[in-house]
Amino acid sequence: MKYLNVRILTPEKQVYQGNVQEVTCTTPDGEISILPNHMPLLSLLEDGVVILKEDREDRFFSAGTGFIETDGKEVRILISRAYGQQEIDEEEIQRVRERAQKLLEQYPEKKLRAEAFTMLKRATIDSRILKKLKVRRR
Amino acid sequence: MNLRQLKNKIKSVQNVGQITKAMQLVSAVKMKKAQTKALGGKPYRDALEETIARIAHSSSLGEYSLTQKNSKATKELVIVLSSNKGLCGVFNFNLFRFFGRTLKVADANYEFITVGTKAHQFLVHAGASIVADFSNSYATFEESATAIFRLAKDDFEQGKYKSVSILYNRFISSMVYQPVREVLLPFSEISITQRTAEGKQKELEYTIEPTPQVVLKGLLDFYLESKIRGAVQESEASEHSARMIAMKNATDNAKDLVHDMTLLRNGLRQERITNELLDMNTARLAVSN
Repeated sequence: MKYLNVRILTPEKQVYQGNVQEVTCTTPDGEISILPNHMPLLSLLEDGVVILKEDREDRFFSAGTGFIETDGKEVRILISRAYGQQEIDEEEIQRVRERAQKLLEQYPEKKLRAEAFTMLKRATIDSRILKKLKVRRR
Repeated sequence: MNLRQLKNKIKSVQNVGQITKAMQLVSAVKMKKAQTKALGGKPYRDALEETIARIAHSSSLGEYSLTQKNSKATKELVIVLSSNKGLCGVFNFNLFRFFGRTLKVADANYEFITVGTKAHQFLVHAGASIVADFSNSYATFEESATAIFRLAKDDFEQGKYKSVSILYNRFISSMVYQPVREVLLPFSEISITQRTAEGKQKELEYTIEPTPQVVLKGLLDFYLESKIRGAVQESEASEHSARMIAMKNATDNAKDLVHDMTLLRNGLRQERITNELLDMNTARLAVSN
């Protein structure tokens, strides 16, 4: 069995390091999966879910924008933020979503609207991870 | 000095000692926090640097505007990171002295961005031209990193400056910090390719998606911003470490003072007691005769 050595790094800290079988992430061109011996690749990442397939279980991360780099043995994911599945809180997501929607209703300014949209997008990504987890637990 | 005055003095010195001790402890905690932050971001920055180095030869860096020198511009932009508050020993003083050694402050060819009121005061006093001051614009210095990055990058891309550098106290350990000046822009191709030569030289052809220009632009932006942020974090950690050391010295001094003055007080008290005894003795002798 071949493995990819994955590191997820954010400006605050190293979020994850370990050996996995497969990495799935979202690029501007769509979702891609990386398997061991993948060709050398450097790509942009969009806000989205990063899935790491370990031996026993899958790990989900809610990821911000950034980069992914691989040479077939190692994968480095450099992103602005990353939250593991344990850190996502359902109530918090709901709260963020409500706040974002309120902002959208109240403020017609472009800049604030863009901010609210990103908030909303992130909340959606987070809730998608939660849903995936629930399906699995059943 | 009489006994009462001395007693008052001892008490006030003791109070000062308690305060400095408290400040030392607070600074120690803050330093720990700032330190973990500063060190936590390091792997990210290193990885970013490595990635840039690795792809540097598979696509030309020269095309990107941030790597090119503005040959027409004569001015240099210097970002100075200091502290808002004093009572931190030679933290700011060292920085300014380093300043005087490396560049002429009042030279018309330099423009400054200041972070921290101490640097602002110093530069205003020295008659330097200040473009922007981020001392109190955000709750923490760290939040201003993005704004500084934008300002510096935009001005540089418009061809206003020959180079952009950052001056701050680098955090080495909890006891040691050192003022340094690092050049941020332009990214010299030399320094990056040198790093490639040092590291494992892998001649891999990277597939870069969506296009090398977009990715490289993003990467360099990321790198620049994280470098500024890192500098801010390190400067903050150094500030707290400097304050901790200064306060520790103050506490030790207060302890020494109290010790010396207590000895003096004891001497004075003993003298008074002896005098009283002598008085009593002479009085008794006078009466018994």
